[in-house]
Amino acid sequence: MSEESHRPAIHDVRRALLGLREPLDLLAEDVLGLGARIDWVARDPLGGVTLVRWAAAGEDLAALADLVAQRAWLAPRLPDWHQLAPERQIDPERAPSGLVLGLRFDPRTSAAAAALAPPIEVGRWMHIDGKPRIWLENGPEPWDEPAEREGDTEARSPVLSRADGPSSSSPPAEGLVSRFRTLLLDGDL
Amino acid sequence: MARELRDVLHYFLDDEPGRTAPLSCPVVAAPCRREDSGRSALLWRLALEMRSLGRAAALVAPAPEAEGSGWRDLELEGLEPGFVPLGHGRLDRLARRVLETREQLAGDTQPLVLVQVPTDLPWPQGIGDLLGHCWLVASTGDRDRAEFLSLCERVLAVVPKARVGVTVRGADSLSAARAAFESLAELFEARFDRALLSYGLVLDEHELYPTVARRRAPGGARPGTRATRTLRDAAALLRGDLE
Repeated sequence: MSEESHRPAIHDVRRALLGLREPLDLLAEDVLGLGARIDWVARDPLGGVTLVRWAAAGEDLAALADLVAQRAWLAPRLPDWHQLAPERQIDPERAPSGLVLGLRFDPRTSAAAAALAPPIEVGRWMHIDGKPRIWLENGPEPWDEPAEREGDTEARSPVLSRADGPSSSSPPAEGLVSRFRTLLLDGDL
Repeated sequence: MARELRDVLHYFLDDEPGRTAPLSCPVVAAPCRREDSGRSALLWRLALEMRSLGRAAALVAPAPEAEGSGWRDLELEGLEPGFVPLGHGRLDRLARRVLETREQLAGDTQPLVLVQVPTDLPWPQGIGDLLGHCWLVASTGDRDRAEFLSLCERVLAVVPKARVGVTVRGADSLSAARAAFESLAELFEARFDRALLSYGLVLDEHELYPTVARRRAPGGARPGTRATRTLRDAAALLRGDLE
């Protein structure tokens, strides 16, 4: 396996999943599924479970097939997962989704994923300005989005779309240092 | 803000030669639904605490003209908001009142206008000039977090470089508030690729609603409560960012 095919670290995956337009909360890593481990399990804002599978170079079709199988395996078990960990707030009524992550994909993988019902997302793993990002292959193209105000490039949404990639325009970060602040001490309360 | 309100006056006002706005009166927006009595009360108290800290703070908000307005149940002692009848959702009237208020405060020390921007109405072009600095109140509950994200997305779509800060609600200690803020900030940073400002926390949420129910804004009758102390802390942090 080449160096670049290594599975990304969990904190990078968590960050990239949160950056999707429909953010996914990473719940667990290396969860035992059907005869294999599922790389990551995430939850969407409505409580739906998304299984995320990393595809090493040249293994994306196999990864997709595995994910289809894992998704089918999980569906009837969701009520059990919910019962075991209700604090995770997953919705057992929602059919599980899937996301294959990798550096590059065989066109057949993207076509097959899109043809599934419900489809499985195919996301290209990349770094933009050093930050981990996911470019969804079947998402909308960011450059097709009209500006909010004609002629005003600043009015363009800075929001990372599900398909955001290197060509997207986002404002310069003001410094990624969000720190909790308070002038109070515990004793003040 | 990159532009002053007067630079875009033509969006809101008919030609009124000679009208100018003071340059040193910041505007802080609190976007929320009009029926949100909790956030309305917190905003009112924030304005009051700003005054106690020495800022000439004024508050502008949509008039409680409709059933369900968050202001209808509050008894507002000590600070009368500038209520603006919106008519048929005319947010341009709100912007006009903010401009007028800034002019009225021109001679005061450290003036500040806090404005409640309704999120349950369509935002006209130009509303962004009120949204350069936004103060939000959020928790990490699923619904609150989704609402927070949606609101941030809406604000930043209009004003990509807006400063967004949050006061954490729903925590029961400083450490819980810190964890909640970090969770919100992680989400915000990943989504918008920028920093989220922190304006402390508001404690004892359970105390706020009974006080509202008694027709009091939170802390209005009891200045020594934890709710009041934490809001004063939030006001001090916000004031620091305005200087």
